[in-house]
Amino acid sequence: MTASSLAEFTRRFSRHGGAVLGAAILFAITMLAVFGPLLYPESPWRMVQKPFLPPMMTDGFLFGTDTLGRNIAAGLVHGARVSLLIGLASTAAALVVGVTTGAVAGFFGGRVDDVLMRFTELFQTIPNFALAIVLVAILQPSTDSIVLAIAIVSWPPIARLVRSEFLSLRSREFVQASIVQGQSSFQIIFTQILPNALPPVIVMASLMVATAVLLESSLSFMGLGDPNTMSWGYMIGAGRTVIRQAWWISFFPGIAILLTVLSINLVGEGLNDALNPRLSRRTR
Amino acid sequence: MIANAVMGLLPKPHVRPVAGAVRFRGRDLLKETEAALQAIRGKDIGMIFQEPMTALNPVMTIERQIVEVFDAHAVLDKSERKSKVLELLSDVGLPDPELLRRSYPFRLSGGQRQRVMIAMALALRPEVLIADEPTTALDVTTQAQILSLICRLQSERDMGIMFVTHDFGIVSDIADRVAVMQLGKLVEVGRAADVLRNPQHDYTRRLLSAVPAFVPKARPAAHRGRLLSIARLDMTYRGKHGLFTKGRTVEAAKEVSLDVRKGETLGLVGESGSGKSTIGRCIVRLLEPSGGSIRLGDIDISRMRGKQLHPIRKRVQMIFQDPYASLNPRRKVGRIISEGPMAHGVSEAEATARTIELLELVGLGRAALHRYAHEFSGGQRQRIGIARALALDPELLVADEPLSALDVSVQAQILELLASIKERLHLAMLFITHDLRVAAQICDRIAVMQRGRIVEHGDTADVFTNPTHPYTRELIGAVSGLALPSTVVAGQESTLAADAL
Amino acid sequence: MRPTTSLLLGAVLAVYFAIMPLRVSAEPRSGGVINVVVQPEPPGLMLGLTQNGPTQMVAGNIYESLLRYDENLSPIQNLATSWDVSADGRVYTFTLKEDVRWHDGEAFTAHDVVFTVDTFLRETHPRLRVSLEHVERVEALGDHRVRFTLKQPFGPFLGIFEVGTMPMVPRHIYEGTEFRSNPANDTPIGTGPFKFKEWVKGSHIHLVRNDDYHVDGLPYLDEIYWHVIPDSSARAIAYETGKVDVLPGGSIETFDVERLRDLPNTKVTKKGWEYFAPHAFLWINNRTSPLSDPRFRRAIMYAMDRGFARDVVWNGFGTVAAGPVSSKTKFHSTDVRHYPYDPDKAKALLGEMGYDGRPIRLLPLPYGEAWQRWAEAVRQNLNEVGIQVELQATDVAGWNQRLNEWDFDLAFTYLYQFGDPALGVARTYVSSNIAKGSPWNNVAGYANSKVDELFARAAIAFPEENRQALYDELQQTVVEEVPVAWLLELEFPTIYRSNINDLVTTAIGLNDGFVDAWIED
Repeated sequence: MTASSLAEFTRRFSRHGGAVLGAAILFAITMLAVFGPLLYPESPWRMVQKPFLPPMMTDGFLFGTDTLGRNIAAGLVHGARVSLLIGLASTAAALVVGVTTGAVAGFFGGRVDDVLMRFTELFQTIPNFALAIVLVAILQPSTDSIVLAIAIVSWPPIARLVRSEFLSLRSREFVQASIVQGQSSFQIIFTQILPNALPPVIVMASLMVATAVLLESSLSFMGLGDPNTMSWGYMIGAGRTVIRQAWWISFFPGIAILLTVLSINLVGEGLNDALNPRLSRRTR
Repeated sequence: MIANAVMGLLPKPHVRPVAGAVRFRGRDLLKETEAALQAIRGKDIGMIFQEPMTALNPVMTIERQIVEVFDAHAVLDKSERKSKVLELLSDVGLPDPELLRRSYPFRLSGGQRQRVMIAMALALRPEVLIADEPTTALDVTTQAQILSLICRLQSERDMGIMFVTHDFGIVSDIADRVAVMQLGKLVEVGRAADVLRNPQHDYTRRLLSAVPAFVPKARPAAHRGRLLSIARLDMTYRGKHGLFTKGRTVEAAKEVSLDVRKGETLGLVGESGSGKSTIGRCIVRLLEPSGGSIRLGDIDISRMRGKQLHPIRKRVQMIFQDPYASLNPRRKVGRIISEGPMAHGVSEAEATARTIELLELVGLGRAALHRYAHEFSGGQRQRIGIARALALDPELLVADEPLSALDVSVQAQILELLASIKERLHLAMLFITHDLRVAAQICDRIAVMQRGRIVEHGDTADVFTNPTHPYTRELIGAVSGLALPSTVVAGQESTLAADAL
Repeated sequence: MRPTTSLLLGAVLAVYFAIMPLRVSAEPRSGGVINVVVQPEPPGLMLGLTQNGPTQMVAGNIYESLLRYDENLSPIQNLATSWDVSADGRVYTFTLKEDVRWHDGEAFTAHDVVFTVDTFLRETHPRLRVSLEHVERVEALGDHRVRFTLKQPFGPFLGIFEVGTMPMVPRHIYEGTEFRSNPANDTPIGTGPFKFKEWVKGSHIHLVRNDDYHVDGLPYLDEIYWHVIPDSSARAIAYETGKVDVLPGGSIETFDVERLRDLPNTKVTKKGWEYFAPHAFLWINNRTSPLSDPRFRRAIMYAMDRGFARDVVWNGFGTVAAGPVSSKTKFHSTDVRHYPYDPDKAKALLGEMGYDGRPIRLLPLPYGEAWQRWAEAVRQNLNEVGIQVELQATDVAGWNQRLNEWDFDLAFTYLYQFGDPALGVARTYVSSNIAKGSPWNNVAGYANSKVDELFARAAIAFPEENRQALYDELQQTVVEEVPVAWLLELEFPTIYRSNINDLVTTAIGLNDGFVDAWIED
């Protein structure tokens, strides 16, 4: 990327007001996740005060305490790490599988394409959330199994997108030029076509992170989360039975999830404007 | 742009007229309301567009689309419309109007669609017709037919036509007056004959000089050995067949045999669908032929694949048609060129050195090494494409319509470049084109293709001065602007700098 | 007293009595319907075949045993009007009430008792079967007397005549049949105060008054409905909206108890669990290192803040458990080593034994939010003294499986004591009870031959007083060795409308309590 194309990208991204707001919020949340544990170095599982303290009543306990007297602010900060990490890791895993599958299917076509697409459809026909629940339950809930489960239910749309991009790019002249030059299929897929197929993939990936955060929260809420990591979904679920006497236990992590997912979606829209459509070509 | 401005079709709010007036029958069209313009469009001023493929609505029958014109202006009742449609269709020379009116656009060829568009534009007998490059996307023979149709209709109805084109040949064939525009400004206007013979403005002179002459030079016959020998090549595409349907077969090339001798330029000439691109692609093994053989020297490369084919690729390279699509937009120019040698085991340093050599050879200089394709003009990109093709030191270059996507002035430069490279490097070239002027300029020998077969071949001069096959004669007859005074003789230095446009 | 003063006093007294409602001891009134919740839905109501908690709660009002027990675990007459024990403690003779009828009209006799104990329950009731090993023979002496002859004195024997342990079943319906597939199982026939009317699976169970009950005037209630409501919040809401009148102990989260107890017209009682005395502790897998080291196990005891768990997780309901025997069970001894909350002592022990920081797994009891919070609190307690603990995610099936297969390090559980250490406590600590395949036996793998011997002797020691000394020694030894980590004596408060009286009067509470319950206006 040259300096001028970066400037162009920023300019187009900033045209979308919501995207800038979303980027700001996301930046704040990321900073919280990265540096927050400096503010709250202790484990969020520590029972440090009286239980059921309402928010903003006690120094150092901005969001109050939960059923066991744990600091909700500390939980929010540590939960940010968990949610974002799981969101990013599972998206990365889904991308690896999805991009490879779609690229190979779109590039080679024919029988290879048929087989890979039937395989992809197998996963697409099963409802996402239900499959995730079953996978996590079978594999025993842990951070690893959650990342794996989310990745497994998320990769098919990426594969389809990449495949369609590859199908259209495959017949472009610069790809044919590469073939004529003698480059190997592997080289062509990854160094010629893939960089051109990336813009819509980037947009989809950003939205996948949001979905992954939501999926993780839902699984944790239901008690299928890793019992040794405190995530926002866990906090909401733990506060569910006492929501009538202590609304804040579920409320603040809920807001956190809302802000995170919303900001990621806004950034995704901004990316879409900035990266697509591609420069129009002169027609003759 | 001007044409669109007249019709009120500018892409507002990005582009809008800021000054001046377009007066039609005393009223300034720029100041009219949309409703008023709607009344004028189609009825008083008609317009036909460049791309017949996309100008018709694919989900409506021909009849419905023509009837829409009547509908929009609320004329004629149902039965009248039906008969008028048939009348119009036969007026524009379409065969079997009764069958055609019920067809969908995808069943029609490019030329037929353009005729339908003309029918729609002329349905209400407008006084003025705006034609925006209506033949640019058509075959040369079809182009000739459409032009003569337009001329006939014009004289029958006494219409005024504003014909937008880049082709001086057309200007010389049909125009009464001509206006020349450069970068949004009108630089010269006058009677066509005057302007063509005595261009006043510098720009006009330059444009005219760039038009290739249609005088094939007699070339010394090159009695050198055969480099490439194609024997009875077949390329048949089989559509997928389902359980109950037979696949469609298209014979893109049938029983094609030709030779390319060392150091010569063989032209492969034909219209779209003739199979010439298919032959080119078979030679560089982007396609595997379904029958026949392709011999490079002694080796038959027609069935080779994978590892076997890999070293052969070095010997045959291709220059592609569309300079905007043939360069990877996300790669630096240097990489684009050096990727080829590197794929064959050359070290990066060596490949880069070679790339710099080639960039200088094609007139671009080493600064291009680290820039991206989109920073260059069409002509410059094609130079990059040529450098890329030369990077592997091929014996044979296949140039697949390398000039079609370029402006006429740039075409001349690229043509010159190709000629000089050929000389210097003693390359053989297979030059595929539909433009007979260009073929005349650069090819030693010519083969003419029609519908997948070679119908005539021989030395360029012979074929053009004494065509034997009726199709060849038809092609030559359709070349526009044969009356153009040619001010360039092949071989003369171009007056345009390499990176002017 | 001056006249004006006495007048004034009289006036005040008059006003007082006029405005204060007369609170003489109220007279029980007949009639009324009570709505209760049962959770989860019982698998069946034939108490002879199924003995889970929900079945006992409902069917304990349909069936009866020879005795009932008050909150001190003293026997009260029921189907047996009197009993005597021989001088050597080996022969128990019960005189049965006359004119007792089964719900289908047949007479209840001593032959039913013999059939129930010797034939039916011996086959279907594992827990009773263990006690019955001490019985040499059961005989009917006429229609209204039964004699049990034991092989040797068995201390707890008089305590096993509880309806969940030894429900009387009708011989005329079950003799000679395949008990489990007998069609009468769908319409349970007992001698109890309430008859089975209807069971709409997934919705409710309906019992109605037994008009021919063998106690005149009882029961007071006309009908009882047991509603099946799967979600604990929904159960609490059902009480708040008046849909149900009684919430049995353990049917709602303790967080909700706080809120409900403040409602008007609501009474809460901790009683009615003395027989069961639910005892919560952590199974420790004594087989693996570092858990095999008693210093490690004692460190666990010192590291846990059990008072916090009682106050915060259980909202004050519960008592810190001192050892294997509950304070509500017979022969409880306080003369044992105490393990107060002392993290420093825990750290010292860990340092002394050279604990290498190897992580251990903690299996929570998958019974609801309170248990999950408790597991998190314990994990945190242990982390803070340096023990790395990983909480395992599990469901009921997984919990069962891990304990069956000994695939755990620490695991939460709670067990009933059944009033006597020989009945409910011994099974946890005797080495003969070490066997894969059950989560209720000696899962910890604790084997101490002295302890085995003490338990064996204490069960059959005679007379009663001699048992205390043996159990004292037992408790001291076991508490010293910490084979399991005792947590709390659990309390499951029953919540009910204040106009319901005499609902919980026995040691098993609601399980046989509806016979005496009445609704005040």
